[in-house]
Amino acid sequence: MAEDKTSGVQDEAPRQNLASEASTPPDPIDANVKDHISRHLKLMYDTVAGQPIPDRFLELLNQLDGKLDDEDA
Amino acid sequence: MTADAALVDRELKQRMVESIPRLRAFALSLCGNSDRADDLVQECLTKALLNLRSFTSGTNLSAWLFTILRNTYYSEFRRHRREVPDSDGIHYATLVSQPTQDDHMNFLDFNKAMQELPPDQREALILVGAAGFSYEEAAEICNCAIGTVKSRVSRARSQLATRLGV
Repeated sequence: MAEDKTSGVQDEAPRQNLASEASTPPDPIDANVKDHISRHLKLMYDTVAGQPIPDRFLELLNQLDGKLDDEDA
Repeated sequence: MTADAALVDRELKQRMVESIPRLRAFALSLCGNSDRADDLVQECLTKALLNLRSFTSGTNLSAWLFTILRNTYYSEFRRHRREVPDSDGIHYATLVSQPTQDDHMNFLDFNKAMQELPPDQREALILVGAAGFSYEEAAEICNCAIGTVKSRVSRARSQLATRLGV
């Protein structure tokens, strides 16, 4: 075992994207599967999007707001 | 600046604030680490405010902000490389309120499968499948053709289905 001499360490960003886009399109997936994926996807996204806005962002906007007004004056 | 312009600016800023939660979710899906995601959102908001005049009113503010965030990520943040891809799964999982054990496992599996997608596919799937953008808007945000977005979304779904065994 361990025959693989790893000739050249692989970069962690392989060019698989180009290859996968050039190949034939995937088989259409079942509507139930699509639904299953959609629900998880939304749960994942909404979990973060449902969090209250951290103060740092509101402070930032107010700060920049003041600066912009100064420039405009 | 005129009173009208000030009013428009104020309204835009209000809408920017409303976009922040979704920008955070998108940023986390891009960089996989919540601290860095918030830095990315901060950078995005700063740029947006400084370039508010270049936003064409009447066009899609959300798409504009997502574009700025994405460009910032690819031009400045990505060189730091994605951290170990455990961060997302664990982070998301801790945020979910009291899932049943079964749901919790599914959720971890799903996050892991998402992490294993090529970045361009993951991004397309998030924009269309979670953030609610049309294919056209997603194409604009990713600076690619609509057909490319469609293809990426379809491949992403197909890969997820395979990896989750559903």
